[in-house]
Amino acid sequence: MSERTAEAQYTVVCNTEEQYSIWAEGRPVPGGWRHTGVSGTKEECLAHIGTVWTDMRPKSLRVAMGEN
Amino acid sequence: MAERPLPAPGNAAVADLREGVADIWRKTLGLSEVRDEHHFFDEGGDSLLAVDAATLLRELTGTELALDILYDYPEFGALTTLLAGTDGISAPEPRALTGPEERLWITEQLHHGSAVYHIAVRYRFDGALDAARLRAALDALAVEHEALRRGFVRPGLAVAAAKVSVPLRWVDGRNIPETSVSELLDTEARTPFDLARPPLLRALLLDQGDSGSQLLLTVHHLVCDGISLSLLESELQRLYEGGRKGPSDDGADGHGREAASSTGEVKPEPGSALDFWHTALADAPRGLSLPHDLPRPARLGTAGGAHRVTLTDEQLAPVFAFAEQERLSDFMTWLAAYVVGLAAVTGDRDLVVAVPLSAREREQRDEVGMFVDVLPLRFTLPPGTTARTLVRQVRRVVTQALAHRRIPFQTLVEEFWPSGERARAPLAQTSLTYLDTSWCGLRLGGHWAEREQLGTGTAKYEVLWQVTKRARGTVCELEYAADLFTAEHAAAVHERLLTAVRDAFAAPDSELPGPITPTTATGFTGVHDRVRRHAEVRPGATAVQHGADTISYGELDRRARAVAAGLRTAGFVRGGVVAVPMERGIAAVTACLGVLYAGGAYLPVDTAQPAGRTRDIVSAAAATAAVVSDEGAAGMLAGVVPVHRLDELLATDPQLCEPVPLTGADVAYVMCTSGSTGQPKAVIVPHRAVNRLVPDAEFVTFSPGDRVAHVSNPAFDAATFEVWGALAGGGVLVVADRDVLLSPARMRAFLAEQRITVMFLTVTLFNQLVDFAPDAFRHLRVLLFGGEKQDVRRLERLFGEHPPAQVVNGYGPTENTTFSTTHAVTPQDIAAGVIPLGRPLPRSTAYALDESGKPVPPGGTGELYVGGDGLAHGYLGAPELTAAAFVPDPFATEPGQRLYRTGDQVRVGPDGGYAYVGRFDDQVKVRGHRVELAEVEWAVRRQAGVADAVVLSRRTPDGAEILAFVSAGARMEGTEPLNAASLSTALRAQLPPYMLPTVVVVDRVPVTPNGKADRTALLDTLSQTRRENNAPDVAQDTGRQPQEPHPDEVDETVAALWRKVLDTERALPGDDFLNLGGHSLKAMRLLALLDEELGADVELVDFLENPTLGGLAALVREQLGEEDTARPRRGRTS
Repeated sequence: MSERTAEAQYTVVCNTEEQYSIWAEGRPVPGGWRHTGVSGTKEECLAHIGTVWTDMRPKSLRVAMGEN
Repeated sequence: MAERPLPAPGNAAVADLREGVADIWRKTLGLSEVRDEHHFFDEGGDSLLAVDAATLLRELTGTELALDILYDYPEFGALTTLLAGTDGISAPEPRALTGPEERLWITEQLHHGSAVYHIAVRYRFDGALDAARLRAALDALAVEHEALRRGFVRPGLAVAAAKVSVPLRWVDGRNIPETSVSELLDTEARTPFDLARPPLLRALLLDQGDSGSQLLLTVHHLVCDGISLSLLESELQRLYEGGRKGPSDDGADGHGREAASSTGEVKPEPGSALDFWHTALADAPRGLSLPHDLPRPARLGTAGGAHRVTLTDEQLAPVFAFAEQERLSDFMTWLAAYVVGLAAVTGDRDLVVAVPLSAREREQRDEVGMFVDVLPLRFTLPPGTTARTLVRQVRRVVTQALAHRRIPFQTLVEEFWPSGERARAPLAQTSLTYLDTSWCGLRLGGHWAEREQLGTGTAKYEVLWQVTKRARGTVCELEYAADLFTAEHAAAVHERLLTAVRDAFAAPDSELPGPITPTTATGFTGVHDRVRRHAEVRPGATAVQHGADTISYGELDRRARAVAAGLRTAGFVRGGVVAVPMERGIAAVTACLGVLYAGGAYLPVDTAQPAGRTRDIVSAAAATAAVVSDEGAAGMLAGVVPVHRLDELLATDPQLCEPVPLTGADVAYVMCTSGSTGQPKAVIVPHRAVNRLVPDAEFVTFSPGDRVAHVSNPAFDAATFEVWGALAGGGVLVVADRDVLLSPARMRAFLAEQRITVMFLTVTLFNQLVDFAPDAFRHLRVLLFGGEKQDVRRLERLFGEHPPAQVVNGYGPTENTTFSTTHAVTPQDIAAGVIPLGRPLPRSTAYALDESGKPVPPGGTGELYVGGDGLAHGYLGAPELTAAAFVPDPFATEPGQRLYRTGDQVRVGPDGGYAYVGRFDDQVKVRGHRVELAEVEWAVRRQAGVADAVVLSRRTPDGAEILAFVSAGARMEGTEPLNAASLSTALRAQLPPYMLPTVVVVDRVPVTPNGKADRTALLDTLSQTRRENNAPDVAQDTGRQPQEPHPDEVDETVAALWRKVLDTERALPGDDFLNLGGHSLKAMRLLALLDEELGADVELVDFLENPTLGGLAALVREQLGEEDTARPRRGRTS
């Protein structure tokens, strides 16, 4: 799979549950997702996510558990 | 009997026919004259002559008459009338069926020869009846009422004969014991009618001398209903007494009529009726959660039984006092009572009950026939429902339904019920009838007899509540399907239903008794809440069975609450992860349920894997506690997490367990899968994903009668399906030990003895079982397989032998909770050679997308992306992996949804369905387990002395085989050469059994021109070494010994099978099975072959103790009981 996407550029996106993912740059972002402003190769984007996404629980669960 | 007038011949054709038939009689019987009342057998006819006559009659009429026609129509007059009718000369035109007739007709077609729609009524007179008068009265009745001359022929037409004679059997019952009398009556009531041959009414008169007489009328529901029965009674009475023809003047009104009709005329609104039903039945439940004790068959038969309770008027006084306050009709009162009782015994709060309704028009008031249709009435019982609010709902629902009743039930079925759904009756699986028969009966010759309805050993619904008000008391009868209930259990259910009714009406403003679906503060009901509910409703019912050990729902609940209380006392909080390193069994289920009760997530840990990997997994999953049941696991995890012993937790007071309200997003479990970075990935699965898999799924519905096999490793996510499918559904989880899985003969015995109804198998196990015990699955309700690509030949074999009722292909990764898509396998799939992956589960999606993320058109291939409620939150502690695998869903209707990239390549069929093609990456499935080859390679490379390693997989008849090709670096002085056997031993301490490769030492790893490992060259190396007969570099324990001759036949056979299973030429007594690529499934195959060839049933556990060829041969000899010489005891057994 890496061969297929080696040169492609991605952006880091985030949804309302504060779950992160990557999305091919230039493609319209699906509803409920927003750009975080970070873009680059797949590896760069994933590395960034590795630093900002620290709690894998969706936001709704954190809220239900009395956190935010 | 006086000569009866024949209907005047309508035309010359009838006269000709009559003359032709008379001629046949004259010839066969040697008569000179034939009259209408002449009886074929009284005039000298016998069985041979009857056939001769029938053959001649066939020639005469040119129709295929039954050869026994003279037995049914022995009288000349009746015979000619029939033939005139058959010939269509004088009979009325056939007509299409009415809605009510069609409903019964369809059921009749499904259950030929069943008495399910017989109405059998008995009258016990204190004196004798005049048989001749009765016969004449019955025949006259048939003359007056066309329905009694009506027959039904395919494809669904009603045909009336011009004249019929109602069969009346007279039996001298003076010396017959009571048991024989009831046998006689039962046979009479249950003998099927030939629907094409009217009348569908017959009578039996039993003369018991001084004890009086009994009259049994048996009539088919296709020509009779409740009002008709009352009409027949009054008409029969009049005709017996010599009365004239005329409409009944005492009328049937008020007596024995279906109560729903007593609401009277309601203006029809045909236009909007369908719209009304669309709204009323939107998302109606597809089944009723009846607590039946027998496993549900694929299709219910019509065999049934009834449990009867008679209630006195005093007992019912509170019910009727309340009904009077609410101005309810008797019918509505009983309907409300039934809804209360059903809710109590099922726990369902959304119920559909079929209610009979008379569709008689005013002008049909005095007509005998079938005019009763049913309407599916739906009732919902939100929290806070009381008897009072419910009866008002009943009044409203019934009134509204009556206003929209001009839609035949069959139309509603076609409109709202999927045509393929056969496991349950369409729209409603239960019904209620209410009849007031307190004035119903017969007065014949001055003797009065009350009407009594006799059972016919059948059931029309899963359960049917028949309430009959009689002269003294009210009879409540629960008719139940014998496929679902034993008599004792049905009686218990009925008693519980009646208790709930009495309680509810005694306190009409209190919240209804019985189980209320536990609604947490969040309104979410998890699988553990459902287990709790079963424990409240059926505390004594078995929840888990493991060999001779069982645990009831009540006890399981109590213990799990103790576990939860213990964990919370130790400081455990909602959202924590608890490792459960236990084999499948009662302890593991108790621990996992306890963790859920405590608001936590369980982490099942495979006990068969090396300790190091277990510690890695427990750390990776950030577990905050572990619950263990043995010292080994306790020692292994000491210092990694706080360890709790299950028996100590069980000593906690369960009352200390406060329920923790959860949401669907709360995590239910964390499960580890192989990871390509060399470390396992911890998949976080929320509760809503589990709900979507089992309680809410449609591909298989679990009920209390189910016995679900627990065969999966708890650390493998098929266990989610097994455990929570069984327990959330109220069924029994039946644990199968490892030795059962590994022996086809034991598996066959397990399935039969444990009466398993639902089972999941990995494709590998499934294949093994089909090879050696293809008949093992015959009694299953549903067999699911998955985890790997299936082998169509094995399925073909299964379908060709003894297939279970349903075979389902279940596909999906752990990240989308066990199954993403399911498909019920059909013979057509097998013929086509492709088993589709099927459709997504409820609230789930599946797309085949190309590299640019666009859907692939039919015929193309793409990667399968799956989404919906089954999705995991992601991988614990691995945001990068999560973000790469879970991507935004551009097709979602709700914003912010994700799709999981499965890495599976699928082909899109012409109908949009998917078929599995292969993997896009290095992931392989070994015996159902996902293995990333990279993880294996990472482990191999870490071994001392390994310079280079390439891990490959290849397909074998037993599934995928993992091969590790290793080359040594420069050898240091004084070190051992790289040795496959020691390397294998070292790997066994680090990798779980299914990940262990067959190690092959090579001089160097060959590469392709573009620098990649040359797969073809490596596999060639392997086959070369194996061909060379002593495979020097393949793992071995005994070094290089010359091949020894095998002294006897047993050894030769064992060695031959050893070579076959391991696919090797080498077979030396010291060779270790596990080091030669053997694993437990191959071992099982080897042992099965040995059993087949030599009749030696070697236990797997014994073999694995010393898994060498020599050891195995010794075990075989021991088994055969032959010390010195060995001869095969028996030949092939299959």
